[in-house]
Amino acid sequence: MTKEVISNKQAIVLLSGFIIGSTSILGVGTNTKQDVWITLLLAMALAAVIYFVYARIIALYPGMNIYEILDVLFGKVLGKIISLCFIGYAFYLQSLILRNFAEFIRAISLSETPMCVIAFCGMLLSFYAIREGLEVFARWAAMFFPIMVFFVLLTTSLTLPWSDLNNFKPILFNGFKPVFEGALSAFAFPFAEAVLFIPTMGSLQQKGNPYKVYYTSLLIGGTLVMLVSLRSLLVLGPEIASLQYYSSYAAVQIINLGNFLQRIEVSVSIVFLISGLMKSSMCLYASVKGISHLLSYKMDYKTLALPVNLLCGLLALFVYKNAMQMFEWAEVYYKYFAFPFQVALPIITLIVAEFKVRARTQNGNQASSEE
Amino acid sequence: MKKVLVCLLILGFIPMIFSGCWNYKEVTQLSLLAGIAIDYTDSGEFLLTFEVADLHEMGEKSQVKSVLVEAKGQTLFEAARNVISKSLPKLYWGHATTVIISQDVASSGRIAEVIDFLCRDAEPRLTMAFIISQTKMAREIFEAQAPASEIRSTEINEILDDAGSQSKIVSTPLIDFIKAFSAKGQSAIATALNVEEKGGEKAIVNSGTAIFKKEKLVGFINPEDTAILNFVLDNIKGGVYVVKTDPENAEKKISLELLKSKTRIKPSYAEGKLSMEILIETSVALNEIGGSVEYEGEEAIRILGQKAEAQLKSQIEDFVRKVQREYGADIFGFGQTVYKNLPQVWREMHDEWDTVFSELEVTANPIIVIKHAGLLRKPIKPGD
Amino acid sequence: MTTLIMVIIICVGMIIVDVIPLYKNQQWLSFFVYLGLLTVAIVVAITMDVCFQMPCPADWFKKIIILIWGLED
Repeated sequence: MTKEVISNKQAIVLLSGFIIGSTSILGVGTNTKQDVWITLLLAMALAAVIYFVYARIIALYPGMNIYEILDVLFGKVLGKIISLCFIGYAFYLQSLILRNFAEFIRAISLSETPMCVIAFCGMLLSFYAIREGLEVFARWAAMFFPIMVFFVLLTTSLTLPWSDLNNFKPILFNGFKPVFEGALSAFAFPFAEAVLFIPTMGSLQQKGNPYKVYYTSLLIGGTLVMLVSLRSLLVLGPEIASLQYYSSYAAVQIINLGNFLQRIEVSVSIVFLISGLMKSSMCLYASVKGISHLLSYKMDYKTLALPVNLLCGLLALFVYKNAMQMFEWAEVYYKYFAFPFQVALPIITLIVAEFKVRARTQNGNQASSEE
Repeated sequence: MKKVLVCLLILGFIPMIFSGCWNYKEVTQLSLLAGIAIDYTDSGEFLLTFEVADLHEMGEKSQVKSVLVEAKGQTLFEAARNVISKSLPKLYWGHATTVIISQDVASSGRIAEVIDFLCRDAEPRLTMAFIISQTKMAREIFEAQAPASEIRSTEINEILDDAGSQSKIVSTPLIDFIKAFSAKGQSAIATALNVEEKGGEKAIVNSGTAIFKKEKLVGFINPEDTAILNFVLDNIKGGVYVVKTDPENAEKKISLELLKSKTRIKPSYAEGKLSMEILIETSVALNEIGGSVEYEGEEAIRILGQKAEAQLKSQIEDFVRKVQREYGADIFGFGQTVYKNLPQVWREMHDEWDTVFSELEVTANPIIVIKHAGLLRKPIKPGD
Repeated sequence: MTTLIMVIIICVGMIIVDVIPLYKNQQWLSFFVYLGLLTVAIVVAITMDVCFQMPCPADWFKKIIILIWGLED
């Protein structure tokens, strides 16, 4: 099995798409109303801290897969258990994304189509992406990412005539606490979900720089998320933006340039399709790569992609009872659920890794000095 | 072997892929909804009147026809679905441009129900024109003649599009109405339309603005006052402003064409007292001088501008006072301005905003700049 | 019923494309893991469609989270 390699640029594109993901339609921090920009900046600052942890883990063991790193750090048994946690999280997250996808399509257009049809279509797409291999998918992403950015910029600039900067006021009317809570939510979804990008980073080229990948993507992805959220706030106003389930979709609905350029809200769906596909494929890659590792690479991850994905699609159908639960979960409970995977486990891993690396270099120095 | 299997698989997929969606609808099978009117029946149910653009007879010479369909129901959604049973294909709401609500529905406080219904469903668009009818039944608007277009809803939208050169009409798309409706310290307004009968023909006319307080319709203001309201709300995009230059001679009037206008509302809080200042900057062009007014030269134009400013100032202040006294509804969004610019004051006052608003001291300070005076150097006078 | 039908169609496709080559190449581990996952998928699909409403994992997680973090609803 030859090792797959992706370039710095491709990794940045994939991670930026990963960060935007389903945020492009769900919106983040809308319940902090006019302070959403503070919320997002705060979340990005928190993310910048945790991204250091993620990037450091990769930088300490260049060219190694996260699951291999875990084995090295915690030994065969404990390492496998932690790997299993990551795999479970990746698997669960992918089904959440598929569900978001299905709920959105069902809400805006195909209201009579059974959910499984929509979810399975999304599922088959990400299966195909992973089946063709990471390199192919990275190239696809590099091609489609500019299209996505173009649509975000286009729709945002077209909503400018309807934007009212007064919607920013008053700043921090309800105090700092809701903003901080919103920032924690926004940190857990979408920024810190980038923990699932660590397996992909194992395939980064030798001269690639994980810090650069993580921080550039945070900048690009964060800016795009910010644009989408601010667009909803400025066009719809704080009250309606927090009322709407799919506020960015509603915001783009307003566009009407001279009765000519209108009804372009489908561009929101395009952005969501591209970024959601990137995110769900990256999650799938994380889970199948892990399972493949658990089976000691006796089974190629590409072969695993389809059955695992099928289970994922099935889980998506009953992971929530209804759309209301989905939104409540994303806003309230998700940050607690994701905390161990996004923050606790990586930090423990990094601490252990630092000790091991220190010990290794000291041993190495001693050995060399003895010689 | 493998090839055969793959072929079989592809064959199996073909009927599924190429048969299309199972609930697809051809354009010809859809009834395109153009507008909807919401009334009460005598028994208190909702009576919806749908204006449907009938495409079935589209051909070489026949036009799009407007068909009116009625349906009743306890709730709006039930009524909307009751239409299906009436030999029409399912209505497609995506192209609906107008929603007209009767006075009865609006003043009964069930307007929240209407906007909830329109926003919750995915098909109706937030850019629909939101209109209160001053006629007894909202459906009468759809029964009026439409000279320009066969579809009444399109006609209404053309009337509203002309708002740019009229300033006497306020255009409230659904989204604007909801924004004002849900905003703190602001009462909603909506376009008001009426039907006028001239020589046996019924025509749709602009009748100003409908004023809401909380979720209830409390009254209407006439088109002239609507123009003043548009000044306060910074909605002026064009139109005519008539100035009486001589209080004793009503014939002496000049017309100013509004070119550009910018309004800022400045709240100030001093010694426990809140006051509002409305700053308006308008550039106009002198378009007509009537009743042999003598005006010539730069100085005269400046005096004319001052007269116009004084008139606009008193009109705005009178109008605000009238709204404060008669309706007590903060349609100018003063409360919203306070909330945004003086959040601490708003925190103290928002509970008794209604009383604060009705006693609020409001001053208007318009600045009118006459940019040019057309082609004439001075008014044409008879040469003896 | 649609879920089951779709799952079965996808499974048939998977068997043709993936499982038969695995069998021919005698990669037994992959073969059995694959078949195991497929069986789980079909069983889940049957329970979802035919028998009863699946319990919702988000509910369990919610209970656990409330228990651990001491949250109140």
